[in-house]
Amino acid sequence: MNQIRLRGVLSLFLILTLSFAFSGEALAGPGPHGEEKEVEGFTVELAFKDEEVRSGSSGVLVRLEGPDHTPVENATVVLTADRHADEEDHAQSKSAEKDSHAEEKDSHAEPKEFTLKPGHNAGEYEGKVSFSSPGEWEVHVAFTVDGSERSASFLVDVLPGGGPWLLLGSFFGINTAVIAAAGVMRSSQNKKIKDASK
Amino acid sequence: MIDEKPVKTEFRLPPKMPELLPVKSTEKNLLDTPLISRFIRSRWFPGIFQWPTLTVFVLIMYQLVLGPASAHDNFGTALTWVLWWPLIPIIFLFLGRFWCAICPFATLSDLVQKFVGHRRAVPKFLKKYGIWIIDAMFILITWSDHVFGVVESPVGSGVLMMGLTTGVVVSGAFWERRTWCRYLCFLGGLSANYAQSGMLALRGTYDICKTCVAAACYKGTEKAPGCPLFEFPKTMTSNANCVVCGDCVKNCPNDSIRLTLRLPTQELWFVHKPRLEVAFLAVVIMGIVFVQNVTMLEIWGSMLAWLERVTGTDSYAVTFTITFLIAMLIPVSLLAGTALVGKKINGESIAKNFTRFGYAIIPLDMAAHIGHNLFHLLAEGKSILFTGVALFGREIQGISPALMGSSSIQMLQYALIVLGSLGSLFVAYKISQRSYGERALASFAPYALLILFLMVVNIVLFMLPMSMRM
Repeated sequence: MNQIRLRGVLSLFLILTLSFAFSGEALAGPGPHGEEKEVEGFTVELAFKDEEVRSGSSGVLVRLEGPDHTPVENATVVLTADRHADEEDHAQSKSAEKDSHAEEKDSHAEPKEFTLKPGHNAGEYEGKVSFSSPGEWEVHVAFTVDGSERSASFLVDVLPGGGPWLLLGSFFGINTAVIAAAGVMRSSQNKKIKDASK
Repeated sequence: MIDEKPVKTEFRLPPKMPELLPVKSTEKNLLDTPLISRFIRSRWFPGIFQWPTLTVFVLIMYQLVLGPASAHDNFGTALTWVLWWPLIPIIFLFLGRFWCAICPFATLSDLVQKFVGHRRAVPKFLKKYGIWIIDAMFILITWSDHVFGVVESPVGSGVLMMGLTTGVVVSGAFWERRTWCRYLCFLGGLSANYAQSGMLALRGTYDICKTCVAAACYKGTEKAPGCPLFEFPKTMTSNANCVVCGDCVKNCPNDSIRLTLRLPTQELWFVHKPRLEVAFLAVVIMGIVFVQNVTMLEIWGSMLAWLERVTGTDSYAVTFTITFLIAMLIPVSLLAGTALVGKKINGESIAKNFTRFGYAIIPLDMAAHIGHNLFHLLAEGKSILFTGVALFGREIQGISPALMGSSSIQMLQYALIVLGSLGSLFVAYKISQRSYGERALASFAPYALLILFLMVVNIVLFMLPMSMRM
């Protein structure tokens, strides 16, 4: 009986673990939306894979079109993300506040570069960009075509991250369930031993 | 905690073979030093290390899951991948599997077991296939690290830790002792391999143990539980599964346990029963080191672009999996090919040659592993400080995270690879000498060539510029 119960608990654990592992994929948002800019005849479109951009890592897609409106292939596309200047001033003005250190850090930290890889369609480049905090950010798209570099900047409103509460909830839920199941099984086992010894 | 289960009769003292029992009475027993002896026998050991590591682990988990989203700013990432991961193989070299005694996962397993543990016997399939499961887990974790970006994403690292924690909780809740550490933990498998190259040996004293019927070291007494990793010091010939937790020292009524220092790799010279899965793991680790090195090289981008052109897909999962399989297959097929040559020389089967000489790769594995991670520790070490002070709202700017210049790091890496290769060559020679008598040198020659080839490959990889983790 205990063997069957143990198998049941282990199967439940397996199912919960798998559903937990794939929950992130399932919740990923569909369809990118984009904003376009013109730079020296080139059209640059910046799109995020999620409908709302939240702090943390975000999937990003850049579409490049040449002056003749044909997709630009074999370009090197590098993104950098900076806190927007107004946000920076705002952050500095709040520097006396207790929690301003993190924002100040973000505003002064050297921006990290994210190199995009060619995407599925011609002229598309995909990758990830990371925003360490919510607020208005300036994303610079630097693209090099035939040896000449051009860049376009986009303002992006980054919302607070949802927090990995689903992840934490699943983690604590599964572990609590396992511990509770073991506890129940142990107490029933102890009871049986007691009954047998009577 | 006393384990009431009877000791199985399969534990029999092996025939006296001095080479299998490296702890001779003439060797200095560290437990004869009063300070060490008192410390290991005290109730504070190893708890005095366990609780701080558990506390740091909780902080790391908090940072990974709820801290800064960028690895560059995350203290948990810095502590895990820049400090802990590089230090781990060095700890194995000097202290054997002592880390496993104080590992937070082990402490968690003990706690769960104490309160709700069922303490069922370890399932037979785990005993039989445990190391194969570890081999598979190690490969899977390395693969998913690259495909899902575990190291470069704090949340990814957090998910890995949470997955491992859940496995530990399940194991602690249902199975006896530290089943997870012995049969399932991928790091445990790695440490079991490396501990055999380590400098610390724990054994029972042959002349005392041969008359002992108490088996307190295995069963436990009121002083301490029985061996958490199911070892029986009376018959132990390897430190692969000894975590130096001191429980057997506390339990032994005859003061038989000896803790001695030995030459690194010494245990590998006389492996009593070499096992294919252990040899396979040793070769797989070499493949993993190749993968880790290759994907951090600056030329990796162009390699990837070439692979994308050849395969006609830009899916990183596909291109990386191909690279990964090739990198895994290279050392495995090289050793298998060498075993084929060995078969023609010494007459033993390919499988036996592979198994015997797979152990000779362990010192080189360890050197390559330390060498690779040394780069991260020494080139990015200050990031631990930067991210640490950021927790208190401070910021350090304009300072390189490096603790040492890249040319000095490279020199250290070359020196390590040469040392590791010498260790591997010596182990291969001793294995040949012990197993093949007159044909020892001829049997050794192909393996020596293989080790030298692997040495050159590793040195070439370290010569190329490498990118950082943080």
